[in-house]
Amino acid sequence: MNRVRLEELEKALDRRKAELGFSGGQYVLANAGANRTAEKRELLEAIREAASRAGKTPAFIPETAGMPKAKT
Amino acid sequence: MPFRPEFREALTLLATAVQRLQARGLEAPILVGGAAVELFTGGQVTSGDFDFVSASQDQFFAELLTLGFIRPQGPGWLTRSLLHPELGFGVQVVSGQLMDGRADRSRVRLLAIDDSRETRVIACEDLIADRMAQALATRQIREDMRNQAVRLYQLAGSLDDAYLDRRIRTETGDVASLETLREWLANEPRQA
Repeated sequence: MNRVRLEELEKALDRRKAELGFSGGQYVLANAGANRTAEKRELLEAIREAASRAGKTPAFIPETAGMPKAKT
Repeated sequence: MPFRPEFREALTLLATAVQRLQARGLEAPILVGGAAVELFTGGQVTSGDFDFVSASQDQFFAELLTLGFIRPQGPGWLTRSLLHPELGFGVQVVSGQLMDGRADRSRVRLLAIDDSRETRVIACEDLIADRMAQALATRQIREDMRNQAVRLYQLAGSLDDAYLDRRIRTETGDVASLETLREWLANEPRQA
């Protein structure tokens, strides 16, 4: 099995991003959530509610935001 | 861009549960889905939960419950999910088998979190094939999945092209191949 340390993976990805000229955070689209199951939606809602009770914002992008356009 | 601290902390907790499962002689769960995309893109997407494939969900969840996870409040049918209220993320066991048994388990990656803990992660080739299948599952191509497949391919650097081609063909029902992915790459803007 192919083994890698988290720090090594992180460094390798940073090198690769530099080679590709990637910068910032706009080049990978977030999951739009189109295929989420009912249980997945309930779980994400439960995470939102737990974060709200703790006075925090959930780390993930809300399902309703930033839905990318489909292309034929 | 480094991984966010919450992501590292989550991986550490999950690897602790995995380590305990393995100590009991049970097979380690495999990380799949959006959190695997977060991992293989170096944190370029932020996943709200960690999807796993595991044939030992009950034992896995029992370990997670000792590590601060709770069962979500709400409908009683949330049977495959747990959440960590302090860290603000969830865990879901999405299947008992990796890609319904179509993926080569020997290609699963071992991710070492520290000297004693590791977790297993779906191979990047299988993750790309999964994203492509989702992109092509409807009449209109899903841009988010197409883009993720392309970026995973670019960022991986070195992949087994023969295996990747085979897996794309299988997951998309021969609608697409590695050539399709390369065409998508050629048409992908440098920055999305």
